[in-house]
Amino acid sequence: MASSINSFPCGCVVTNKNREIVFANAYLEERFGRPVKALIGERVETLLSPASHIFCDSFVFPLIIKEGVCEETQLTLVSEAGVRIPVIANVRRSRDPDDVVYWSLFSAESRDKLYQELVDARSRLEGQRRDLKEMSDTDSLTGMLNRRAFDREFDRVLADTKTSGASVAVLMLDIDHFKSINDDLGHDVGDRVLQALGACITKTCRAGELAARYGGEEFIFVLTHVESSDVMGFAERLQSAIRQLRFEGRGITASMGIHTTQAHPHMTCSEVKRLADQALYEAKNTGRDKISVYRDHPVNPAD
Amino acid sequence: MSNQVITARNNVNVIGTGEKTLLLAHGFGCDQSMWRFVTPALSQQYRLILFDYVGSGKSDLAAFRSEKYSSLEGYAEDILDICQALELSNVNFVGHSVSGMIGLIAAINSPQYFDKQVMVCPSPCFLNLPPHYFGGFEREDLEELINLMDKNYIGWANYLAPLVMGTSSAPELVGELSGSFCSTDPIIARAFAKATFFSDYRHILSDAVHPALILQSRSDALASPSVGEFVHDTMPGSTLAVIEAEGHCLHMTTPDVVADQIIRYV
Repeated sequence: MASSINSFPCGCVVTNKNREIVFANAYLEERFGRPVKALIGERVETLLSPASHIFCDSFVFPLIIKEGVCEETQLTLVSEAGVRIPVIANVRRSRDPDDVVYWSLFSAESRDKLYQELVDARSRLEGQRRDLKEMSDTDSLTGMLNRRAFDREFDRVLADTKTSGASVAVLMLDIDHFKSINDDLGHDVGDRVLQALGACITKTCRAGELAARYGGEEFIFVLTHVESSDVMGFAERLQSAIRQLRFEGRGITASMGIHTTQAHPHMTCSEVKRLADQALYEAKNTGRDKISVYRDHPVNPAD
Repeated sequence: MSNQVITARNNVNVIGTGEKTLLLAHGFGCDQSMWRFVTPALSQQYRLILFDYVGSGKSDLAAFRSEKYSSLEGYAEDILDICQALELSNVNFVGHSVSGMIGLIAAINSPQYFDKQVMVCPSPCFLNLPPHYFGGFEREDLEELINLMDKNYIGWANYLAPLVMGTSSAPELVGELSGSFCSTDPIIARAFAKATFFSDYRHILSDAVHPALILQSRSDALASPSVGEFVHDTMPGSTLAVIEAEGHCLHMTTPDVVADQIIRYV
């Protein structure tokens, strides 16, 4: 009988309840180079790599104790020469009073290569998905979120604020006379203006706040859990930072429209944006380089 | 974010009463249920805040962002969100394993919420970085561990057990303790595993601003006594207690000792 077991084309091991090896067949020696005699009395972990040891402790052994069986688990055996050999282990606990555990270990080198290709392919796909998402969400000139990503994220933020009843403020910003900058100084300078403004905005925003390039020379922000005065402070800081910028000796200004409101169940993104846009329109119409706040009808705080 | 949003997102549960507040943070591969052996004793004297990190236990899996949770800072944000949402102060933070470091990141970042810290079997780095530091594993060992998770995900994601065992733990004990398996999402658990096992936060230990108690297991496959000593030597204001027990989950294998240590320290 023992010689039959020795002829099996897989490693057969029996361990006692202290996880010590009480039997190992000849395949262990032939295929994995572990002399059988030396294995008897050793703990089964001595066959395994450190990672497999941890894996057994947190998965295989608890499962054997709980369910009595653990099948098709890939582990790594370490050969006598220190070579790592992937194996598939089927493990079963005996129901008899001896309380021993039977292990069959199948060499799985080819199967492991296939698995590895799948793992690599998945990780490549994940990487590509991440890159594509970043590309589709990002405005390539400023590195900020683009309009599509903003609208999606704003939906999410608004849903959160609706649950909590927090305040939400939308600020829209438009560069004054941007067309004349392009016309007078060229599109390269126009691009630099947009980039500088993007950097300026990103620096002024707190981490986690939504900010995006919303259109040609239009930017948009969302702040939550804020008082109207906080939003005004934010806008003023931004305004003075923008006034510091110089391009070919020429300064720039921007107009801003703000709408701050308490979140309520029926509010929509488009409604909040529309009211901020209306305030922006007011700022543009009353001389530019202004911050206008929407209140039933927009009011310029300087008025 | 509001109290309700965070409470639902991190499955926050508050039990017990007392003047002092303990925030209990679970380690990799499990959830707040791993505190169940110490909560009966601790809830007699303290208000206990229990939670699951996003991606673990009964947290809101939809809130998982792979970029955010690819480093321990993302998990530290969960802690700070909870502190803010529940308006906590003078928190005694009790973190198991990697949560010891997550708690330290949070406490250095926003010290105003915290009072003391208890680290159960912490490790700031699992890698061997000779000649001065031996976290216990070669890089290839840890890469293999992640690889084994990938290749066995159909099985282990449903039956991941806390690493309770020592080299000579009785099977009965192990069976009882690991009886409640943590079912996890394999992709999310893999991200937590990578953030845990490949991180190196040794450099922040010296920035600790709160006193800390380090509970070190005499025999632990994941964090050897020399790791506990390193943490103690590097962290100002820390106290080291070596517990005569085995395994990486002292709060499960020796809950009475751990609860007693916490009560005496806090």
